[in-house]
Amino acid sequence: MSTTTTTIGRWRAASRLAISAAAFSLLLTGCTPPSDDAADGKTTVTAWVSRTWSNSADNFAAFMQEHPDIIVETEVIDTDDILERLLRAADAGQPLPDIIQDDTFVLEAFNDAGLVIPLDDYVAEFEAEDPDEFAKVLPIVWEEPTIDGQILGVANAANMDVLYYNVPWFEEAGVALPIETYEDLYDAAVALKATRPDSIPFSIQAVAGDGVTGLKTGMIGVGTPFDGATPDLQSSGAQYIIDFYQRMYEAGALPSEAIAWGEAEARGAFISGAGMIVDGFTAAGDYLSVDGFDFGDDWAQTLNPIQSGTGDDGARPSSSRSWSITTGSANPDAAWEVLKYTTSTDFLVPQVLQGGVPPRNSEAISDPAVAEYWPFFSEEVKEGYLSSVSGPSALNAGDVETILEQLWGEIVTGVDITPQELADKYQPQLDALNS
Amino acid sequence: MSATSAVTKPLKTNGLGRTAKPRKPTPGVSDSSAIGRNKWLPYLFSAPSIIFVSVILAYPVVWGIVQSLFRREKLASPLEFVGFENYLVLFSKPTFWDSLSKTGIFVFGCLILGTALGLIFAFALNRTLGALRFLRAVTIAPYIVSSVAAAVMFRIFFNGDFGTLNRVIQFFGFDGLPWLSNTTLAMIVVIVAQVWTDLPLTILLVLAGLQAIDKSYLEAALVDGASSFQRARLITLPLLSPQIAMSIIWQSYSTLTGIGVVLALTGGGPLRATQILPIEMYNTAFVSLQQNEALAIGTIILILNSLLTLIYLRLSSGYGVED
Repeated sequence: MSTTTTTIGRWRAASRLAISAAAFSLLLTGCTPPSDDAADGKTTVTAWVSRTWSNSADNFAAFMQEHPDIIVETEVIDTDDILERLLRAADAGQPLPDIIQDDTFVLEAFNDAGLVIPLDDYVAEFEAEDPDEFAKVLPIVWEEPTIDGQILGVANAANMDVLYYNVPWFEEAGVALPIETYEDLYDAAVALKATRPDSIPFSIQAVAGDGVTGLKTGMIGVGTPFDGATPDLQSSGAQYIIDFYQRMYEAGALPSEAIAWGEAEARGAFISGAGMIVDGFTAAGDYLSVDGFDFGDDWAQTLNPIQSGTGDDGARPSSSRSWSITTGSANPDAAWEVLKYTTSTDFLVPQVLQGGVPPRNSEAISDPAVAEYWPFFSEEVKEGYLSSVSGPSALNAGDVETILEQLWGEIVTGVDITPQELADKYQPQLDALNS
Repeated sequence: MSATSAVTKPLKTNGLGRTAKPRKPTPGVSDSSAIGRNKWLPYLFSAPSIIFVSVILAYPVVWGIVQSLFRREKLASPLEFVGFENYLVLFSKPTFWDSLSKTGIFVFGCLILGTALGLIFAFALNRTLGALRFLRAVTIAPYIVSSVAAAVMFRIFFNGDFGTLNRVIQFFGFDGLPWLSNTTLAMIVVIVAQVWTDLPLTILLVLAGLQAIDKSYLEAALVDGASSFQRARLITLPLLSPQIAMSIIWQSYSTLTGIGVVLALTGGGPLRATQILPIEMYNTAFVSLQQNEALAIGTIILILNSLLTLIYLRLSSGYGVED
């Protein structure tokens, strides 16, 4: 047999194999049973969730055991474009999921597009039917997703920024805890710099695109008024915080290259021993738990101050994600059962154990499993979390952050410009976003 | 009779004393083949590939251009046709022009550095012999590293406080430089990082061109007494121009549309120093949530890319490069 004939034969055999495989695959696809809810008397509730920690089988396994007539099917869409997908689906006449979970600040847009339904009646029914369980749910769960007097979501968990500090170096410098005011924080940074001149007392991040959470937390901490997501830079609180960070820079308390630092650099400096305090979200302790750098002996959490020390008082902000029922839901009652379940300890504790964020439920937050998983989540931090307030938000939050990033950049690079001049420069740009 | 017609071979006559006109070949038409009987048949055979390319490649581009003519008043409002309003909005923003100028610096810097390094490496690799030929395979390594991973590597390498480069500089007794926090140095760093990721293709293209050059040209020049520089300038480089043009087109495309390296390395900072158009597009889409405006930026990038490609092809046509 010639080589050519052999090659053609092999080619034909391979083609037949490929065609057979394709046909078999199609056949299998056709064999998938249709999801006919009515046929087996079950209701399927579909949910698009924005983070993987909301999507483990453990999250809804207990719920489906309790409610054998409801099947919960979740899909993770962690590309921060659930709204756009929902709009496209609605435009194309495609079925919408029953439930969506997304950043609470985007809820306004879902509402504007008529994509979510009010939950007030369901919530009132929950309170009336199960007051004990309802009482465990923090009021902010309903308050934060309330728009125009209507509850549009369930903000069942949220993150809050805290300070991580190097325990032995704090002791060495004689820094007392808790840090009550920003002036105390400044004094602590100066003392740390004095004892370890080669180290960086406060590892902040200011790289473009990583947000300005540290700056905003400080502004809210000293009572800066916000219009939506826009701070009033002329206020005494904002002026104080700008001045505070400028003084920190001058004292050598910030990284010289903070403007090029992201979360990784800030955490890396802290873990490697170059940084002595790092600002991070509550659950970030997970990332700091590395061999040879142990919680308790080497590092711990404490709260951010909520006083300037010069007369400006504020609060600690937290940022949440909310669950809502879409207008396209064919089974809103079943969907509400799912949403109600997301406020329970049974749902929230597994969510923490899957790398989630602190729950807004007084029972879940004190659950032994949470304490074991997050030993750093101390009683002090827990109390601070329970009293946290909704962070300022609006649909233009991204644009506001872009401008604040420039302001933040000028602060941490030690540009010789007064807080008042910075406010005069950036406030008009911020105001233009709201005009 | 002109000199030209004098050397033209006389055409055969058709027996009627008139000169037979040569038949102009019609695409797909032949007297003897089955294809020749139907002029549509070739197009029919080509249809699957035309449809495939249209659906997979052309449709998204056209869709993006069309969508750039729409706008949502608010994030969740219905789409409205606004003509060129998105473009007018962009042109009215100082940040757009700032990004455009940063893009120019970035692309120009990448082209100069990328082409120069590509030529140097290719010339060097072309002379490797024996076991050292494995180096040719090694040059592909940067190409198989993801751009984001490369950016993270460079971010660590250039870190002002703990980076390897500054450690080396300090080892020799000098002060380290603020590579990523200085606005000028940051642009240089992103150019270097982008060039590093694109360099393998340039090297491979030029190396392939070098190996295809007929050695007799160079040997003849050598016999005629041409120096190394003269041989490179007058023989090698002109013969390499198709490959150089191709690599420049590729680098332009890669740097004008590439976002991974800059986004992961500087995010467009410090203080917008590396805010190139793709970063501006990304921020417009995912931070400002103005997706149609972002598509307008995408369309502008497309136009810039097309213009640059045309210019390169025009410039290099003098060296025998055909578009």
